[in-house]
Amino acid sequence: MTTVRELHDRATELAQMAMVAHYEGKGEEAKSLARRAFELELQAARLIPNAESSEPTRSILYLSAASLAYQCKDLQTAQRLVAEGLCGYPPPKVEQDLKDLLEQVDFERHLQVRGIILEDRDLQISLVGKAVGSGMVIYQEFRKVIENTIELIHRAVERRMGREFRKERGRPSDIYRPFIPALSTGRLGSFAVTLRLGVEEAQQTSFLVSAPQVIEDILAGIELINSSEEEALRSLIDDSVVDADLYRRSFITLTRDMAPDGDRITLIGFTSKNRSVGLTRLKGEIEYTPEIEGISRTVELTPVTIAGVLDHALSRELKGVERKFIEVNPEEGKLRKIIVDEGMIDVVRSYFGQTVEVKGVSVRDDQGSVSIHLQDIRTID
Amino acid sequence: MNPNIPQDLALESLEQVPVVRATAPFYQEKCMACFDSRGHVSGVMLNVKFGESSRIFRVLWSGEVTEQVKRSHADLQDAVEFAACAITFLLVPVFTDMTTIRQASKGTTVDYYLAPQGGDDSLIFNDAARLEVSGILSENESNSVEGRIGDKLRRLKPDPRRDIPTFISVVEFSQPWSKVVKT
Repeated sequence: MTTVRELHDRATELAQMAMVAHYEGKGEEAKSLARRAFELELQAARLIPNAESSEPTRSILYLSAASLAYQCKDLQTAQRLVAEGLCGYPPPKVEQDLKDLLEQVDFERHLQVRGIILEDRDLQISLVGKAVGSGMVIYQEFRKVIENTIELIHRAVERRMGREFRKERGRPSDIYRPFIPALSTGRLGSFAVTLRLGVEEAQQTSFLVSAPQVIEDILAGIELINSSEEEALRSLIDDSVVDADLYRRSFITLTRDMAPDGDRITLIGFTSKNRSVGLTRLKGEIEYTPEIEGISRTVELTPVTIAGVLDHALSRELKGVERKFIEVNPEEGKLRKIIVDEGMIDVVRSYFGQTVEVKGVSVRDDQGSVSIHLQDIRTID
Repeated sequence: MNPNIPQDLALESLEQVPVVRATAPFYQEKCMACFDSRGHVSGVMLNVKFGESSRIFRVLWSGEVTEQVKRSHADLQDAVEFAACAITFLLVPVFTDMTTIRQASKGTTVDYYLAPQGGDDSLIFNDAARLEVSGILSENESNSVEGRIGDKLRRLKPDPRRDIPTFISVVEFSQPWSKVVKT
């Protein structure tokens, strides 16, 4: 097999067969076929001289070879071949395709586990963005991701155990905590740590809450939210679960609270022993509407923003319904009470004592009473 | 050729399309499943607008869409993309002197490249065009052939530098028709 056409035709046949094998769920066969296709396509690319007159054939062949290397999960080779393709004279569309592929390869590299072997009770969490340096990360960003992930773990455990949605912190003896989360040291590149769900030696865990199950549960939920499929959370937390709606709302708000802002953090990668999920959907893109119950007929809904120190939380009855409030103390003006719906309780806790910006909706009911309902909260730097 | 007289388009001839020579039955099956799901049988008419030309085709296949095939395509969202590719691969040589010679995987999405039939054995893509294909099982107001073509055209920003042309093809399987435009 000597001509570019012969090599390419055979590579295409194998690549097509790999695609079909992948579609049919034959992962290993697909990878092996893609590897053979890659080798032939690379040979074809190498036969073309790097000259303007070789284009677009040369860059298309490098794009194709890089793409096949990516399918084989040989990310380093894929990266190198994209660079070789860009070093020629690719026409604009092929150049864009090469850059798009490079972006995907980079994304995957951040999710890859380097130098360690994950166990089935491990979850690697990696952060990418301006807040991340070489092996360093701004603490506040890191803390939020870790705390929210751990809260997702606690909630998954309680839900799987059939517990009612916990609305208070509760006494330690009332809370079932089978896992002791432990963190590894940070790793270079993107900032990555391993969160290990350890179990105390004497602790008996329920068969309902093994660490791999809980990790899979969380990855599946985050993947759905990242794909804008919040409604599909019903398949993960179905209506047969006690307080299913509250668990779903809590899952959405915790994920939204740690989601990337697109600048300081652009990607949060979650990698288990079996798979990877990248959270790239921006916080602002994940909508959450607070549940406004106990008010018979709203006549006015106005967005409001309040900045101040979040310094108090309390429960009290409002129109016959037990409500949770937070109090925000602005620099000027009086203390503002804001109603927190139960799906946001987990998110609010981590902001106490901090200067925050609170977004909500102001509701004037048919009797003229005004209340503010929390929609979003963030720390002010 | 009288454009009002239907021309045959046999799914079996996918075996002659270079890019899918080794996987033609896979594409054929997806295509049959999509037509069958919309209540069509072999011989169904397909209206095609390819650039300025319009023609009618009679899509033919042999064999049955078995219950097993129907079950395995209960969710046709993926199948419709392959089915649209199959139809487009067959239409391209009818309207142009090109044929589909490679898939252009870009990680998770796949487009295709067209090249003149025959031609140079070395610089095989030097007169190539890109092909972007998508399929719709049943179009509606929010998901139509024209809408998708418009979206793709908006996305493909023109570049003043010399660029390779792109064909955009969308195939609909309910009232079967297809539109192909070249940028």
